[in-house]
Amino acid sequence: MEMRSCLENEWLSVFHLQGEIDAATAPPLQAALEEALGEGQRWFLIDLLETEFVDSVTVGLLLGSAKQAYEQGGMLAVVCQERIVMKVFEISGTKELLNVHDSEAAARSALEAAREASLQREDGGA
Amino acid sequence: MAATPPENVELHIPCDPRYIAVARLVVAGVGARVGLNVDDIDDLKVAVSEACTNVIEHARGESTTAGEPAVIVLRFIPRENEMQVEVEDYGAGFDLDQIEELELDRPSLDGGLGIYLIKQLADEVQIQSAPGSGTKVIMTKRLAR
Repeated sequence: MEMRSCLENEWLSVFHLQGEIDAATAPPLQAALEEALGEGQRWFLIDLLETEFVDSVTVGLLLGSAKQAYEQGGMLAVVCQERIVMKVFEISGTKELLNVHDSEAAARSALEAAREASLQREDGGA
Repeated sequence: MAATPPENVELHIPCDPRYIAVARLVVAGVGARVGLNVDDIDDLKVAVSEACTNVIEHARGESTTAGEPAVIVLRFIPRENEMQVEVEDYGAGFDLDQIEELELDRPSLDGGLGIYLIKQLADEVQIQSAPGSGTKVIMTKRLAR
């Protein structure tokens, strides 16, 4: 698995993952997500458009990160198009929990809408 | 006339996650030989990977006889209208009666997800295990008609 991650702007962390994610290749992704969460990042776009394979290990680690992001007031969204990748999210019942979309634009819209709502809540609470 | 020899393929991999990708490559090769389509091969690749991951995560291969290194044995059995894959370990095994049926028939994010995915992605699944005799997961994928 090849991984590229960047803090795209002042709020969004993007992880591009290419190849196959399984028990052997997941640990670097888990470490990178934990590091970002530890630094206080809470908005994540996980780009699986070039990912050919995911498994229950992938689902588990993304769920863990999504839960932490949510608890910090953020959100994790996933974009994928490969049939088997989408199928693993669908049959594991995690498509909604992980905000899985089939286009990058849709995933970004979901993140932007959630952040906008979050900012409004923070303004309202100030 | 001599019978056509079986085209079974047997693969022994170390009980190490780095070798699960090798098992997937063999699924693709033998699956294509049998005539499974790309989608069915992808389904079976996930199911076989999950079975291997289960062995590794539960360290079922730790206790082998005579101190031999733990291995996972995969048997790929092509048939006329289906392909069967067996994933076997020689570890501690477990009592199947102690696993609640519910755990195997619904997704559980606390560790049962792998078995659930196997059951969803293979057309037929059998799990054979007993304490002290290892575990064998037998998955069958039928050719799309």
